[in-house]
Amino acid sequence: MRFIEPNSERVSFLKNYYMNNSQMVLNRELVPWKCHRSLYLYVEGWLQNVATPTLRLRRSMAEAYMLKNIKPVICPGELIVGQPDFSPFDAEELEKFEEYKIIHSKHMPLCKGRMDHTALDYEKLLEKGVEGVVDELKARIEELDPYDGTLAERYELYQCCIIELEGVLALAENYKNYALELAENAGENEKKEYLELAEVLARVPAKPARSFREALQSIQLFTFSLFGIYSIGRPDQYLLRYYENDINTKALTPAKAQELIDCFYLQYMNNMSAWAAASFMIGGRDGQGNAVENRLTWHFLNAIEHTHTPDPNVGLCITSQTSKEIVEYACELIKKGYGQPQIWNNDGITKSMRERGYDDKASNLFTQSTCVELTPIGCSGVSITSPYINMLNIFLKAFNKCNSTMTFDEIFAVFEKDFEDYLKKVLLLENLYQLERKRNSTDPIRISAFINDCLERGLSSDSGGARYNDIEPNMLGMINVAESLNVIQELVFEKQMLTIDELKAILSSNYEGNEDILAYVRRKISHFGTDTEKTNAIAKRVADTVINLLNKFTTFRGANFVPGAFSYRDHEYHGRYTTASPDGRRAGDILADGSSPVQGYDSKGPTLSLNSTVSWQPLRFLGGISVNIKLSPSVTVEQIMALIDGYIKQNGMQLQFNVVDSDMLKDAQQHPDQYTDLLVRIGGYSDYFTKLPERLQNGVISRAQN
Amino acid sequence: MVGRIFDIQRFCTHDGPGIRTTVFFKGCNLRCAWCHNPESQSSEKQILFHMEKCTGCGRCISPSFDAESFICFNGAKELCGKDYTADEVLGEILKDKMFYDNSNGGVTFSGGECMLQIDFLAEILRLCKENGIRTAVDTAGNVPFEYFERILEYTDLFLYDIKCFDSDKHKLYTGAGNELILENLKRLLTRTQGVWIRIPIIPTVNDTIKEMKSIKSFLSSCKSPERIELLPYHTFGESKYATINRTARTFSTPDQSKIELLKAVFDE
Repeated sequence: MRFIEPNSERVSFLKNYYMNNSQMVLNRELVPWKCHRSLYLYVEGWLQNVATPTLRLRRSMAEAYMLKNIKPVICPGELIVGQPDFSPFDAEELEKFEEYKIIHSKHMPLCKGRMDHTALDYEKLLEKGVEGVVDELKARIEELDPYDGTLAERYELYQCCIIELEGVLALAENYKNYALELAENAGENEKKEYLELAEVLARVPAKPARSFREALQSIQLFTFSLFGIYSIGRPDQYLLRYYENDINTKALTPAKAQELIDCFYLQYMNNMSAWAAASFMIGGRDGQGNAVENRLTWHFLNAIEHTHTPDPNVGLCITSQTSKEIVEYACELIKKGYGQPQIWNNDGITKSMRERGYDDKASNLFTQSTCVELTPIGCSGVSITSPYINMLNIFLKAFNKCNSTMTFDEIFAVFEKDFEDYLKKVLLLENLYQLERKRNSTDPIRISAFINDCLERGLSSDSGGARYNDIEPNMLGMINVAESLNVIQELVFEKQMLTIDELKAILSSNYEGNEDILAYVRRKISHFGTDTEKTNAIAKRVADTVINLLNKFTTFRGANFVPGAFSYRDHEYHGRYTTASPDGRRAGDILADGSSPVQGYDSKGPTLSLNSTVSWQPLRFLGGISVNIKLSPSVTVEQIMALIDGYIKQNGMQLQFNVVDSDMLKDAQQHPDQYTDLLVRIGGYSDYFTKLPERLQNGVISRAQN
Repeated sequence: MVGRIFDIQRFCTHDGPGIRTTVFFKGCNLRCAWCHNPESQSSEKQILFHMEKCTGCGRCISPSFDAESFICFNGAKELCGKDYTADEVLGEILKDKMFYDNSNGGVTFSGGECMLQIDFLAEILRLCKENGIRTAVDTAGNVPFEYFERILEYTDLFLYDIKCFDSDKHKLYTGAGNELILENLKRLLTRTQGVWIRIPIIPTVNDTIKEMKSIKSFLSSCKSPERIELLPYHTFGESKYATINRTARTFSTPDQSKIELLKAVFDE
């Protein structure tokens, strides 16, 4: 059975409205967590609250001040509200803001490292409401023994959460009042809508959600209030009872529910900048391991078709029980070029997470925290992409120490040693960053009320209260290292066309005057991506090295370092300073985009490209991988389904498609105005093609088209 | 024993049901004027020359030039045709198995005329069946019927070309009459149901209702095949002629309405 709803007029109108008016869409340089108005208010709040006993309390006061004073934004026709205020400053504000920026960067304690990127316990938000959680916190404070001084940190956590959550309540109140204000001046139809909206906002997120709409609104307002990137987890599970209840009582029709979800998606777009992704997963399994596939799973897929926006980043989790119908529908969407949904091997990931020590529930209920970095839901202090490591750069420096007398294994050993030495330095630094976060986190502390077991342990997520605290360093250019080793093996050791010293000289000249060699490397070498035993073995050896070396380290909390191997935009940035590499890459060229073979080297088709990827056992890289497959629009749904099926059966992990024509992309570079709506997948996220820098555009074009 | 192969294409959807891997054998005993794989015709290995990629570096005209080991840095000259053992080909086919299993797909042996290398073909077909792979053989049928008998057991599907019904015309455009082809088809259909008839539609050669009716009337004298497909002529192969220093004979591409009209003959 297929469940597909028509697109509503409201959704088309809103999409069009946002495309022409939303600051987030028009200006892809904006980022919500640097929203000038929220920053302005935050600093103002900071300056007004000097007399707090701890900096942490002062920060929460500043946060609450910001929430209480940020101006609500409600656009015409919206059913789900909550987005940053990007309205420009007047002259006086601007002058102050210049001063505030200096205070913020020079005088307020800031810490480094990855913020947000976690998945909160939204079930708790929906069941208790913010007021319910505040009550819980107050009760916890009541219970604290005033004679026991060791409980001070506990008290601080609870008190900070209360202060911030009261800020959220004020924010919702302001939104409600603004809706009422709009209702006063509106015509008959709009008036009714604004009043309904005000009624919803009067209820949530303060109180438990009673209806499907209230649930969606509660999630949206709460998430927006965080001004960061948070995955909403598995909404087709925790929203189902609200949906079914409304359908059964006839308070809601499937079409109306679809419209609400579509509006919810569009609001995502207003809350998420370029270069980032706000995500969730659907399908998969519940906490007990039962397969999940319901009407909401369909609605959430359906919304991709209706909204066609870069965010949210939707992942469809495939299990051994996923129906053919829903995979077929997902493939129809992929074929249409939406770049969505991402495909995930649910059962494979669950198995891999168990091996890493996650309990049954956490290893069933995981989500991508933004692009592809995996994190358990509602209990995660996992720190993703921490840090980014340019493996190719390390490899090139190691290779420079090698000489013509060395064997392949000796070269590999030099690399391995350098890599390990590098990890010692960089992971110590990462641990120090994390230590500073523990002392001085600038994340909103109220998220700890929605991350288990922070409240029980009396520690914020940054202080180690979360149940899981792995750190996921991200390996950039891992595939370039494998390909470089592959080229060295063939050119130097098998064909003996060059010596190591000659190859080093060619690299230091950036292939100048050696275009023949460059052409040979690019065209004639049997590349990683064509599924040969030899190339796969090298990639596996490199991947094993990453895993084995990281296993030697522990984080400052004694948790695991678990690698990822994806890129969002970093393959472009880190490529800039990376010198020429043996894989036929010239100095400054872009790196491989994540976990797929080097762009253009997967020339023997997607099946061999995917076989190559599974050969290095990517399921071990819970920090996330992104596997890009580019297909021509003539591809059939059946073909896409076959790729997904074959990939998952062979223990693949993640898969995403660009179904676009290279000629069309080149045309879009020439005539961006005609392609404003063209979405492409980059590393782990989607973006508007014409708004990407040219080098990233070229990276997408150069991936082999099949 | 080795087979001479000039290409292995994966993820195909046009050579039988589902997702398929197509193995192209080198060498053919017909010379169809519209052939879109002209490099498949000679059973010898050949150097393909892509003039547009040549930078005139001159490495290939040196006295030590050896086609087997020579590597053109620009990809202007490439050797077409490689000898594989049956196990090697099987290895290549198995790489895709996971992807075609669920689609009811499999492997298709095409060419050239794959039946000309019958010993090798029989061997690789047998190996495929041993490994649970569905098999198809794409043939023009211009071979002794014993060849079919040797592979019937291992072949799930034959893709069988009928190019035109009149033997003189057949000879004019392909270099051989079609008596053997039609007789083989008739006999084959008594032995297996798994036959798809494929008729290339070439404007000015066979794109008439009369032609289709002749073919249909012949087929009605046979046991019925599983399917009849019309394959409209396309120009994708034209540029390949230059790479083997030949001039392509060009035809116009038939329009869709014409194809529908011709198809209708078989639906009546």
